[in-house]
Amino acid sequence: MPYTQVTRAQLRGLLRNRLGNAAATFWRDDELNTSAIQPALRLFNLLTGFWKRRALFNTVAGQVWYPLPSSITSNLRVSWRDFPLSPSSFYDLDFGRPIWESETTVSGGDVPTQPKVYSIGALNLIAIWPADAAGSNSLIVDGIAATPILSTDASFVDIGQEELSGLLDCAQMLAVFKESGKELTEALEVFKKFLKSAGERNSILLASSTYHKFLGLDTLRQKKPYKLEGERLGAR
Amino acid sequence: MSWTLLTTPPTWNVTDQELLKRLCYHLLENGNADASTSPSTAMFSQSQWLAALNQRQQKFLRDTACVVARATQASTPQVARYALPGDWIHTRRITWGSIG
Repeated sequence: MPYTQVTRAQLRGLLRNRLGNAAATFWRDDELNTSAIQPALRLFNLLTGFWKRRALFNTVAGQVWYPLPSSITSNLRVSWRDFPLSPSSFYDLDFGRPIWESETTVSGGDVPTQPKVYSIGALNLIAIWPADAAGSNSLIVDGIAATPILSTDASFVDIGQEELSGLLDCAQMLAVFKESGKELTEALEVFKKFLKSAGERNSILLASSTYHKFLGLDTLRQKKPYKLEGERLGAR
Repeated sequence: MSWTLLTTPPTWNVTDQELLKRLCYHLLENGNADASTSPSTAMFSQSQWLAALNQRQQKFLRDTACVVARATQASTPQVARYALPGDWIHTRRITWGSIG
């Protein structure tokens, strides 16, 4: 059930409070909706996978590739008749089983009698192996849902109040992009707070080296430099 | 010889109108009004806005391959070269197999 605690108008009011007294004239309502709030929601969803959706297909006899609905932007888990499939890569499939696309559940030999593996072709495409020879079985994809669009001021933000602070951090940084200069530089610290709150929700993000580097947490490299500063050839 | 497209591109919920408005606001081209969904200002014509968006979108798709299309065509005996579809950015993977 979606959250119905904060509307877009209320969220914009909270953002204006953060942006200061000049906000009412410097940023238009539509501008904050379009350039700060909606992109912040998208970024939050991208980093945390907060909104999730399940899609159900019927398999088609012998079909290997399945396009995903646009309500799912990235898939996380695939199951066939409630049996979870293992993720694999095209590299493994192509080099491990060169004719995997031609194999179905009735191929015999060492080919399994039900789909066992799925592979991600792109954001919009998955493949299963082996293909379901009979078809008309359920294929369930759990994935990250497309970010909700707040179309009116009365639209509720489908998010709990515990996430609002981080979301407003991100929206604030996006809004002050317009000001640039010192304001934008200082807002980067606010943006780091948003990234930290996103990392608390998504442990995969915490394991990312890019994330650590951006937050200034990658101190090991600084402590143990591979090369000394000013190092030159010849006698020292 | 012609290609048959096997997948239709997805339609996600980021619209060109949303991106145009954001561009307009970030570049301070909205003046004293809400940004238009089809902006045409003294500095940028509408075709320039769209060209910038399209160019960036194509580069993004080329660099990330986040959306992939599949196309097939029957091979022709003794023919070694096949022209790709006109809207092809980059070939990711090719397979050959018998049908039926």
